[in-house]
Amino acid sequence: MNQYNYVVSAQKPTAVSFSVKGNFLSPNEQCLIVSKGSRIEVFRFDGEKLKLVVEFGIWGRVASLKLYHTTNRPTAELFVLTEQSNYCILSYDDTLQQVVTECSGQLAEIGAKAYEDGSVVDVDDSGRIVCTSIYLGMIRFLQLNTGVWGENMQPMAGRSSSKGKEVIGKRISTEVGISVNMSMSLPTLAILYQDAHEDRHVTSYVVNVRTNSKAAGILPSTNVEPGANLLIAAPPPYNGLIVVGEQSIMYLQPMNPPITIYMDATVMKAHEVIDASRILLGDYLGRLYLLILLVENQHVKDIHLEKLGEISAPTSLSYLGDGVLFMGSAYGDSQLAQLNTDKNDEGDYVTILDEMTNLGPITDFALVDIEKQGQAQVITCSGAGLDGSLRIIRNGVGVHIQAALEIVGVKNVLSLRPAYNSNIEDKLVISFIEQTRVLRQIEDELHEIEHYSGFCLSRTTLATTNTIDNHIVQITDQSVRLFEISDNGNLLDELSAEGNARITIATTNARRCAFSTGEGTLNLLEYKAGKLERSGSTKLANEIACIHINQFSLAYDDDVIVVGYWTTMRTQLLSARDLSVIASVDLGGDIIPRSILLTEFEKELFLLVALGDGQLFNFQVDPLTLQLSNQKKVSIGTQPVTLNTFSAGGATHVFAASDRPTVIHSSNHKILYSDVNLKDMSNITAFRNPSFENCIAFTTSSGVMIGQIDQVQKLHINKIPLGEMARRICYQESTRTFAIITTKMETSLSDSSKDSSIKILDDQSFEILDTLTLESFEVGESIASCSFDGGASDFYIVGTATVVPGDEDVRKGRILVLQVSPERKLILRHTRSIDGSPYCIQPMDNKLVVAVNGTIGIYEWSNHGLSNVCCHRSNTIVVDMAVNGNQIVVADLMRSISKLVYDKNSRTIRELAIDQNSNWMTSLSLVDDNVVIGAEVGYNLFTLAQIPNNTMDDTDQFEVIGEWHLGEYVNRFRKGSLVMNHSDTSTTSSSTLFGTINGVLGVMHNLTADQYLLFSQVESNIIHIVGSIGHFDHSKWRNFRGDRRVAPHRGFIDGDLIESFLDLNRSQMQQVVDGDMGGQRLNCSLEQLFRIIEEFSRLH
Amino acid sequence: MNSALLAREHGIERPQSLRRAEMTKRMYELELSQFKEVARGHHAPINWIEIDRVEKKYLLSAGADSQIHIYDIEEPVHTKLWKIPSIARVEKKNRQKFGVSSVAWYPFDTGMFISSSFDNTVNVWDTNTMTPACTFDLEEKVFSQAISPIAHHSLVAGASADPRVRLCDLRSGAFTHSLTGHNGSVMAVQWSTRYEHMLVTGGTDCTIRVWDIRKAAACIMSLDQYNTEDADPLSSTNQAHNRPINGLAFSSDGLYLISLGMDEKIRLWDAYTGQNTLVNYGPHLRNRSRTTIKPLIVDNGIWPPLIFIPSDDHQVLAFDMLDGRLVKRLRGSYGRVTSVDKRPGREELYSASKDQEILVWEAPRKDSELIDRRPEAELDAWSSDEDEQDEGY
Repeated sequence: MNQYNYVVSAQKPTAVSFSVKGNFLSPNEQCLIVSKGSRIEVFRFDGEKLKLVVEFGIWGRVASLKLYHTTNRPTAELFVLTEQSNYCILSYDDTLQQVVTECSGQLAEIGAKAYEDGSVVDVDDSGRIVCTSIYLGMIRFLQLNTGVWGENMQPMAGRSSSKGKEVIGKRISTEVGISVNMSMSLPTLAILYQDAHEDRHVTSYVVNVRTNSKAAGILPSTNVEPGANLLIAAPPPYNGLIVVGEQSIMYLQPMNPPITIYMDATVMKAHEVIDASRILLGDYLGRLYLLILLVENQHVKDIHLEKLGEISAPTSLSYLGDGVLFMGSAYGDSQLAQLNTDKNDEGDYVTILDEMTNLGPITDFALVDIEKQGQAQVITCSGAGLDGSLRIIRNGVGVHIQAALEIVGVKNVLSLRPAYNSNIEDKLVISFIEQTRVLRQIEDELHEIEHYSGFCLSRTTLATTNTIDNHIVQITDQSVRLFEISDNGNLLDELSAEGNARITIATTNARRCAFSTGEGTLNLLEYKAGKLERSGSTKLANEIACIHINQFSLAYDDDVIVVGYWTTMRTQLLSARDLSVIASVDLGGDIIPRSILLTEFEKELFLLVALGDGQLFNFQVDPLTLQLSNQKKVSIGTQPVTLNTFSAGGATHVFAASDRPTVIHSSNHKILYSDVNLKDMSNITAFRNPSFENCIAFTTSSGVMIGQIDQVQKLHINKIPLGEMARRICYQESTRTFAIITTKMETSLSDSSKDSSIKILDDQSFEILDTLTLESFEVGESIASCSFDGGASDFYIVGTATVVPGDEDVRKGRILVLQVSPERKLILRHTRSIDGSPYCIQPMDNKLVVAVNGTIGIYEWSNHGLSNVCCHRSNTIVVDMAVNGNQIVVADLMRSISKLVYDKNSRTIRELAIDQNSNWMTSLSLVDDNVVIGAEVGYNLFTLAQIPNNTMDDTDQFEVIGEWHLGEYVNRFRKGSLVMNHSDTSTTSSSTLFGTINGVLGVMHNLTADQYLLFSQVESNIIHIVGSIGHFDHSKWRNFRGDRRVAPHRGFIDGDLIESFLDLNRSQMQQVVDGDMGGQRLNCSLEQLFRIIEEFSRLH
Repeated sequence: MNSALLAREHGIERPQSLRRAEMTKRMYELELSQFKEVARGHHAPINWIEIDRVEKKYLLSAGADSQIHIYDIEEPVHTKLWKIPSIARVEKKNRQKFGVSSVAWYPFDTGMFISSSFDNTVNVWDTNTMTPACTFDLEEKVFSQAISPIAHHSLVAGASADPRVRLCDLRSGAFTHSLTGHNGSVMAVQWSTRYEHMLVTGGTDCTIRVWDIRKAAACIMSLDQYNTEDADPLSSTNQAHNRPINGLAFSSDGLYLISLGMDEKIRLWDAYTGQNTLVNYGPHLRNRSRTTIKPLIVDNGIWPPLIFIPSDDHQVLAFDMLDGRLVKRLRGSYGRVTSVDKRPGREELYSASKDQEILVWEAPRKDSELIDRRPEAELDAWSSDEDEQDEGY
């Protein structure tokens, strides 16, 4: 059995783990380097804004980032250490505009125990040695040699002397020449360590890398507070050492007694040295402090701590100069702030300038197609602590509002070009019921024109355009007017309908127009040398509902008028020569066509017909015979749709304006539908000119807006701040509500109570409708929407655990049965106590499956209460669970995955299959009846297939059929897709999304064996051509790395790597296809490969 | 657990922290398994057990009855009490003549294992046929042997009544060189888990010698329990214990070595400097028998690390390695415990003793009371008795 997965990140990691600043890009320019998971981003800072210059992935999770200067290079070098103990030194080549790997190597030790809190790396100020502390009891130095990289850089093993016994929780900082008594050329190392009695001490050494020796340092060895966790080397000239603890900060200096100040208990998480006397500190609650060294006579006399303000809980601080501080966070949005010298209104010194969106940690998410349109939006529980929020994420084309005119009663908006041959639009025609206004673009502003040539401003405008003779035609409800293009031009001709009948509907192109005065009449006019010439008229059998004339020249001899009718639901193509019917099609149903459009996608002709209920038909049109074929129907909204074309990136796009605006375009001869980030757009027209690049003008209920439109679709993220952590989210369709479980984080170290509550929110406005606060020490663990009567009434089921401080085991919990009342309030229908923590709850066929600690129980609703049907115990703690029919698949804390089945007849649970591996699980996802994908704590994914057992034993074994290192901690899998899943695209139906701690929103697709083979080869070919930053091995990075086991990766494809193909230049692409530089020639052409990869890249 | 899971899913604590905390807790809670026992296979004291590091499920046991058994300790599902059966043993004609003193899996696959015997031989066995593939005659009774878990060489070091430490090369089937320095029998031998050429031996001369097998003067250090300053590392006065040394074990990172002496002391050595760390493990150990015993450092994913020491008074003693605190006494044997080993990846310990039994120790299985509770549904009137009998409890 095989299962191949294509894994790609729709949202790359957003949680900032480290940041450093310096002149990495060029000698005189401040830049900021930020690491997020396994990605590094380099920003240029111009004094106001951060501008992304280069970003790249490295094949490893970044464990440390240091920027330092050496004497032989004007720019700084970047030292990167990964969690796999690989390191590299990077520099930036300004002429090639790319990152250069200077050297790389690895520091991994077999059997050695890594620090639980992560590695510590420091580089001495003059860039001579790197000091790494990765494993317990070992410090290793890397000598940064004189100019020549590579061979000269030998890791050398050092060993901290263990005064006391073992050292843990060490922090290291290197400094240079802290006293004149010492040779200035020797770096000093300060070590914070803990002895076997859990006391902490600081000691220092002078390190001589050349002789591989160390000597006692000038700082006296000192006992420090047990909570000390951070050492900061005070900058020259004072050369002291700052020891930051949980309750005190100590300043150590040679020859002088230490200075200690006390503070409220907290944990400092980030620090940044501003200058010789000022150091910024940030704590775990997002409080920013300034530590000031008070100097007298060249000696630090005292230190002082001042709170500056509240920020996102920081993981890193980087001071960019001029009072601007970057604050990287893994728990909330990263921020760029101005530090002021004076307090502001809120009493702090911090003004936030900009924010960098962070989705992490995504603890749970719901994938909901609220509008039932085939496109889901994702609502994530993001952020930790006070930075908790919900994020609404949807994929689509962005329209960014550039200008808005607030006018009521707008019926339509049209645009005119300054000349027929021009490719910009300078006039906006806004049509009302009984008047028309014309706005003209003059430089950067729009001005209303009181009078424009022969333009009739006192009637509504049905259509207007530039004609082939460089005139303008305007069709009002009264007449067709042809006039000169100049402002004071003359009316050349005007023609009213017969008997001055009111024109109800009209369409025009540059050569002719067609209009109807109702009752099925259709009149045709031609523009000939400034005259309007009747060229035909007919009376059709039915009233015309919508009409359109081709806007571009056809291969067919004549212009074509397409008409949609009332009552018959028929659409016809009429020849503009004699109004004869060329083609006709019945749409069926009883919804009237409201908008019709003939368009060209990639040189293929299509007819689009939009109905009044948001349905859209598309037909392929034969260019010569104009016969229709290939009818397809999709639903793009619920309201009448108006179709209009605009061009973007040289290709024709159709904008379908409705309650859910959609951009229709094509790629690889496939029609694609992209959501637009705005709602409520009714008419659009292209409006492009130098002030409004790539813009469209459109009407909304509040007036006319001009917006710039994105070339490609991407994720749009909206934030709903909560101020507390959202842990779980669940959607209930029948009540159109979301329910979330929130937990307030303790705000001081002594307070261990957590306030937990259940909230319901409206699915559109995300307004909190009701809140149910849980008892003290009670924490919400799981939530599900469930029905006990086949769907007639829905309940929210919430599992809670009572967490007694000091007792690790939960002995008591509750299952709450809640219902949303018609007034949209939460009503508690029933509670049931249980003897443990209900980690997971899932509905199953009018019953509930509840995992209490390691026991799976089935509950049913009887006599207005929950009663237990049966239970089964085979696990330690269930961390995730999925229900499929009557099968229950369980991810255990430490025992991998097992599958149970509930037997309806005997009302018992039986074990179906187990995995004998001891994976520590985080979450799982069902692929089908036999295949499960699991995620474990070592950032790996694996696929299991159930293989029938041949022995007498009735429990099957799972076989591992795929293993892969994702490099991200997956908290949740959910089935579904971020892209619109229309009836004609079936490839996305089997996709799965996942959310990670670093804020990655990932997508997983099934692959066929052929695709897998092709992509495996493409992966390796791309690596051969492009190489890797830091010379890290992609294959090793993707190998499954368990606690004690490394297994080659198989069954998964790195979609991010595959899609990097699209960013290569053409010759590189060709090289990938040819398999140059040691790859293998692919069995397909460049065009084919490009098309395949592009297809996949569109799936997220 | 709830708070730990909350911190884990938010990335506040690293995922490894919860794993380490939970594994440590389970390791500290070891108790005699109520669900597993090892079928009796030996008719004489068991001298040594070892679990393979490759498939992590095959336990070798060596007895004074010259017998070697292999047990598959992977538990099938659906067992209430599981008696672990022996899946292979040595036929009488193939056995070593006298008792087997120690046994070791070939570190890289389970197709081969090595045994030492009081009949002066070190045997290399083919697991599939359970026949000796190769025999080295050490001319003196062999107390134990060791093969490096990390090395590229395939040298088996034999500790015997001969003061020379013999190196048997599995590739050639011949001895390479001998390491001289001990004055008396060599009881215990271990390869470093960090440096592939580093070997440590302990003998009846009360010394622990550290060897670099590449060097002509191979002995680089003789450990000194008193940490005498500026002393010659090879000083003939250096003693590691006051009585013969009969047990050695390295930590998995190779930074620590523990030694057991018949002076009933446990010493923890800094394997990097050779210094005695002076951790005091108290007066708990009983160790008076002149046979090699196999202690164990459990430090993989466990913090603080534990050492498990077989004791003559029918127990396994568990100490906090770093501060010497006695954490637990594993009582259950009816004889002197000779050897302990842990199943990799599981909190599951095996101990062998002179009473011919191998005992299984594991973390208590919690929530067992939940299984035994009768589901309420069964109390319903319409739930028939047959249903109850089908329950898999």
